[in-house]
Amino acid sequence: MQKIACIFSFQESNWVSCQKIVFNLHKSYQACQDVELSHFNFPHKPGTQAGLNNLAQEIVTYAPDVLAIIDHKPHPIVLFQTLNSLYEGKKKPKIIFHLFGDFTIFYAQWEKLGLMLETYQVEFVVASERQKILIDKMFLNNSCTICPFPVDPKDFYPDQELRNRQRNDWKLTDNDVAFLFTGRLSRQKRIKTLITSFASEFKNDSRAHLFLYGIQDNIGDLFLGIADLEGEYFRVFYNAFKALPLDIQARIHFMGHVPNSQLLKVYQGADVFMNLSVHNDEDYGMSVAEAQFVGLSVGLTDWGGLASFHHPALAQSTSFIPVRIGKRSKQVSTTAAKKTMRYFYLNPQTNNRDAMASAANQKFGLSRATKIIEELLRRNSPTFKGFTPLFKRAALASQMNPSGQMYLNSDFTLNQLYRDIYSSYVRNP
Amino acid sequence: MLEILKAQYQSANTLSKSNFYNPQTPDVTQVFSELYPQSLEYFHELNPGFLFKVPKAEYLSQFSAMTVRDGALGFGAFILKNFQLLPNLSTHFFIDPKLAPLVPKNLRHMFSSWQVVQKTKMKISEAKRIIITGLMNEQILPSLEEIKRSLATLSEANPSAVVEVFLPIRNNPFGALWKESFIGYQVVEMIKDVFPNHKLTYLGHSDLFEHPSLLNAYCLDLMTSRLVISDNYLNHYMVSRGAIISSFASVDNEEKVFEIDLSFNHKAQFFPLPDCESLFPDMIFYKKQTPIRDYASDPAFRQLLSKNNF
Repeated sequence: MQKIACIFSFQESNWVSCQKIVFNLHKSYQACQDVELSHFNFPHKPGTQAGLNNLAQEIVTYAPDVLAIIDHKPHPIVLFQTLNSLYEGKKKPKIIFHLFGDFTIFYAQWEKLGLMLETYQVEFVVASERQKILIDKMFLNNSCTICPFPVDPKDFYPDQELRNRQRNDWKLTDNDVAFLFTGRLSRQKRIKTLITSFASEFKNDSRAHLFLYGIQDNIGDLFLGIADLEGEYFRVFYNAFKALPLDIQARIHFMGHVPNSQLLKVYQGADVFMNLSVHNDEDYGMSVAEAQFVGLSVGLTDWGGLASFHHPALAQSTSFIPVRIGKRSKQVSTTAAKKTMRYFYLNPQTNNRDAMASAANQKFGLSRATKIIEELLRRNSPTFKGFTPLFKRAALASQMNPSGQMYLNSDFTLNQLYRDIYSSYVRNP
Repeated sequence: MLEILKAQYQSANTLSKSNFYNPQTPDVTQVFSELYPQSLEYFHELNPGFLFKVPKAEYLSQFSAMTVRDGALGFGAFILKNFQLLPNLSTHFFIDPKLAPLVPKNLRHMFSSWQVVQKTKMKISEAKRIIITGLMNEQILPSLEEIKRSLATLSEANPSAVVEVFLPIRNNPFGALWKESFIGYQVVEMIKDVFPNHKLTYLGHSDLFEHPSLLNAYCLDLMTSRLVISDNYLNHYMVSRGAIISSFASVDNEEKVFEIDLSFNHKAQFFPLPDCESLFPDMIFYKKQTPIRDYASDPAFRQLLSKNNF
């Protein structure tokens, strides 16, 4: 029986999607056969060195065969700086790193950690095919394994009664078509584009409604040199909304934040889930996975991890909106966004909800994640071989540009480094 | 006023992103740091900003409008330094109505007022989370009696509500005079009197900025004095994430000429300057008596303003 040390913060992350990711990954580990699982609290907020020493000592005393790092922060270097010295002269565990979308923010930390990993067997696990393309460009000979962040089918599933209740709350009839977005109302999620595309396409279609669940943020797009002040992007999309005719404003609904526990009902009420994200960290799309578990059709930008949400047997239920990396920004085709929404408006896919839920569960459910993890645990893993020249270029650039503008030329156009890395996230770079 | 607002909207010039704004001089850095995070910038089209971050008044001439966030010290010092230059600027200033007495009578046409109105409502008794905020410094906070009165409103809080406090200790933003202060401890003792059976959770600013949602949270803002700062970033941040803020108005101003939505939960309203006696003659008298040019840091100027209940 293998001993697994599962390392994560016992306190929920403030990043909503990561709360569910860590929780569900942990469930997947718990379901593995022939393992003894023990949990170690690696808090999000830096504690004292004494606390770190205690944690490291507890882990080493437990003598796990495998360390599974399943949380997105803090960066594992914080722990390994202490842990590594305790493993001197001892049998070292295999380490499984579940990588999140923010890998590209922490080059310096990974570089430091890489120096310690050379004598460890390691597995790098990513959530999507496109994230694998990106991360595989960074490691010399350690190819990543894809394990989508799992969704629990007990948490998200089609339910007609819940749908009826939500439609009632929204005051919609069966003939209305509800487009849904959940997530941060963020510049990188292209909320303004979503609103204006919807308004332009459905100006004469009173049956079309757009529901946006989420709160404004001020994250901006630092890689593009856009630092938003608090409220700045809100004014951008809200001005666009207020410029619309009143009858169209009446069909765009800003619903605020809802707790995770209420999302199931929200998804039920919708017909189509829309996400126009071009976020730099878009390694996956937890909200998209949840929407598919409820049986929704999805209209998505063909960017990063969102490209994973395609099911060949249900091709008609997923529509991708092309993205290209322009001179200064990532460009979303608004024509294609409108076409996608029109397509789903005319072809609601309501009869395919159960089939979609089943397909999603097969691809992104807990059981699949457990199978992948069991294989990782079983196999003989390679030791860490080091980083590629691309990674080293990125690491150097991030040190030379601590303000985050490592991807910009002096004229604020995107540089070759950005294209070399993020071409992984588009279909035809 | 509407013409001015239109001109500013159309210019799309953002004061707080200008190169000259917020120079990293010792004075500006001191004020910013001691008022952090309340001194952080936010955005709307009518240029919310701090006059203490503007090195020369002439630089403001490129902006049709500015929404002033300074308190009486910073604003009063700006007026004293620039009252002769101001008529040459085309900028219109929106100020907290409590600062109206500092405006010279002959310059009233250059000033209007503004306030923040909370769109959402919730009773204190409905809050699941009570967050008490304030920078602990005697220059920044109102009197202890005023703080006690503010805290008394929390007697309606639900006994099961979680009580969190963000009360970092600060030095004087203006002036280098140091003296021992126990105000932070005194405030905590007063809070414990209101919540004798509650465990208080002490927050750092990063704790407040990490939460994506502050729904069902009631924020008691202890910084009701307008002496040092009249508009607080933290309140804007928290209300836009769903909190109710004690110091925001809950009803529209009847004289409002214009309003801007700052989030789904709050808006800024702009209206004429209230009629009041001008304190400017006293300020000019003070100026003539003093050789000091850094008025905001001068205890005598502070004394003059404090007597007038800022």
